[in-house]
Amino acid sequence: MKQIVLANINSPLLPMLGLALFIALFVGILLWIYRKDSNEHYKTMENLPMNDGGQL
Amino acid sequence: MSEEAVSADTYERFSYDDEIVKSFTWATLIWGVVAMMFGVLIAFQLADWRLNFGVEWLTFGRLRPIHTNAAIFAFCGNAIFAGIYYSTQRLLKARLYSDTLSKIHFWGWQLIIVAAAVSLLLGFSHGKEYAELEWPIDIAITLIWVVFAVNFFGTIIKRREQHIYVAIWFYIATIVTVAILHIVNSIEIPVSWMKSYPIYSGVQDALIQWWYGHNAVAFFLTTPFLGLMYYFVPKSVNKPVYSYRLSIVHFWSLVFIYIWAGPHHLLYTALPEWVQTTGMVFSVILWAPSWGGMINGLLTMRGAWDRVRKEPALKFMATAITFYGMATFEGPLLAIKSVNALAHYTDWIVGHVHSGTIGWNYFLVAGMLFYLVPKLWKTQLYSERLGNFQFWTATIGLVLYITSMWAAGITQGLMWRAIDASGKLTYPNFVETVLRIVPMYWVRAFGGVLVLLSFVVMIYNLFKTIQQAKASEASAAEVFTAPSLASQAANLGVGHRRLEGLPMVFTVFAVLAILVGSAAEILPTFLAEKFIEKSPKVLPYTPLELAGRDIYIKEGCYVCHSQMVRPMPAEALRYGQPAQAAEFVYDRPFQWGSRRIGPDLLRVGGKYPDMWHYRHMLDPREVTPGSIMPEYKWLFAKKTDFAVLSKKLSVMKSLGVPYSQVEIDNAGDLAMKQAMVITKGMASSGVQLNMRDKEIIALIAYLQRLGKDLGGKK
Repeated sequence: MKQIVLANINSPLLPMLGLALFIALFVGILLWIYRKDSNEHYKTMENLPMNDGGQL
Repeated sequence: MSEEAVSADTYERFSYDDEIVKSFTWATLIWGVVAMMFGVLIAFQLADWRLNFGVEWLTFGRLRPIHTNAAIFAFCGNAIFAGIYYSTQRLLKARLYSDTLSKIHFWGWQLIIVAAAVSLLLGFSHGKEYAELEWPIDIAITLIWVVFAVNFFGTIIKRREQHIYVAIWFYIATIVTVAILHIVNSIEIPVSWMKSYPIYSGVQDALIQWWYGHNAVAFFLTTPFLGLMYYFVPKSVNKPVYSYRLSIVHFWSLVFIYIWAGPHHLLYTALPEWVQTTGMVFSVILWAPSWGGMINGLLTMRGAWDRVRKEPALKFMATAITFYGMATFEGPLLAIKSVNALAHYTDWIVGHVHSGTIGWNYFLVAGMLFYLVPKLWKTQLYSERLGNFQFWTATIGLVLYITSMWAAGITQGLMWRAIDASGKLTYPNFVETVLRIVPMYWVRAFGGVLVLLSFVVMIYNLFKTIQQAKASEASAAEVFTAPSLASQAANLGVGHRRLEGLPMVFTVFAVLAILVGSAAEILPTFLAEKFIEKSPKVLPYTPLELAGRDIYIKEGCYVCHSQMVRPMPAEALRYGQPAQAAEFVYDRPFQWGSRRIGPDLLRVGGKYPDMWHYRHMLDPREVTPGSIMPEYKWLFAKKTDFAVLSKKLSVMKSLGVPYSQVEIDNAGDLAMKQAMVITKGMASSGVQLNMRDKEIIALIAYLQRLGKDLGGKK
């Protein structure tokens, strides 16, 4: 079984499939991150370092 | 989180543990100067061999690992712990999980550093770059790293901030990945309390080692520093990061891609070609996320450039990020096979590494400390002028370093490959190519002195800063308030927002991101039975050769000599038949090396008579005029440990090396017999028979065996 699986790793389809998968994932992440309606959330996030906590 | 939704009674009071940050800051300064002093000393040793002083504890082979380990793990290590502990507490609005764990972390790490320095001086070395430390220290590192991880994740659990800022993501990736890299690369079987053999051998060991080695750069010198950049640059310019969105893309693409790049350290070696190509392609892709991060860091300073001109903190940060950009451009360039063919084994790589460690790491640490020290001790920086003086001294020193190494590397690389019209090597004598670049070694050493000087100036400046602080104010703990985490829980979002609010799930995803590349490159070496075609001609080392091999490792010969003839005409002409994967199956650890300060030794077996090696180790210049190699006189006085050989062979056998029980039981006697034969062979040249039990004889046995099984005679 192990050997059969390994032998099939030579298929030229696999690297192409991997490439397509990685690019699709990357583009998906980009689209998600750059959604417009998350502006407010990122505003909160980027300001986190600016606030050390309230001081007495 | 909307402030109105939180009622006043949910606010909690707390203070930050800044004492531990101060401790790590002091350690950073002390170890920084130690690391750089060793660097300057070994730089001068290459310029003039006499600076090895003929003392075994002071040779280049032993000091170079101390320099690299001190720079990476002592200097950069303490700096990132200081920065991580300072920023994490404030980003999470919580005191560190446990003051006791913080103290154990601090003192444990310092103890490891001292143990590392002493053991490396004494020659206890694992023989794998940046992973030289022997097994008891490896275990100590693992334990202290776990203490760090518990302290860090414990702080996350008791945090008062729902959202996890991107700097913390970089810290999480650092903690889990360094743990995985260190443990996997350090799996070894002890022979004695300071000697062990790795469970991997040859090609597999090389792949695991450079997966570790490259990712030590990635996850010890890059991701934690990027986390520091994402915290301390916005803090210093008092403005948020340029693009938080870009930082997310930066994080995920960087951690995913970086882990694949390790094999670019092994281009044109006996590593299977598909792994080399994969490593090269991912290294080139890596350029994109690296520059994404650089742009994000630099543009955070937009609108503050007038302050960059004046303030040392910002000046150092801006330059650090610029050097990060240059080094991460040069890296992918060097990872292209045709460029690597010229640059590998030369000083170009050394220059590249230092533009990263000095230009990026030291400068970012300097920027961070100029922000941090006045804040921690509640005072002002002692002198901006000294800060500017330090900046220019360091920058000029670094530029001298990098340019001299470019010149030396490219010159030597071209000389190695030069072939004249008759098809012969233009520079057949290796030492010619060394002597040509010795002037560059002087320039480099001078550049190093400037960098060291700049660091001493910084210590003085920061020391004066601390001195002028009022002791009562500096140690008074401030009280902060923030709403409890429970009162914010209702605001948990969806998707990635929810993910970064769930640090444990986030950590799992980050681990998955780094495991994909690791598995794709490493698993085939474990699974495929025919990953390496074994050859019946390749036999295990004899007991004496094994003893000699361990002396070779102990003296750090691999620091200056490679054992890897690449499949190129110039290399075949100079050294002999190119290396094959099967030759290395009994090499634990592999000794392919990464720099040829001296010639490659893969095919040195049988090239010279025993007596040549004997005289060469006693006085290298007697047989190779102009050689810059140190003398190894103590090898002629110290005795080979014959008694331990049975144990060594039995450990090797447990790892799959086909030694018979008779060989194991009589390993010491077999070794003594072979030593006698070698010594007798040199008797006519005046070598006394009582030399037979000395280390030099074992070393000669090993050197004469090198590369003979498959390489044949030249």
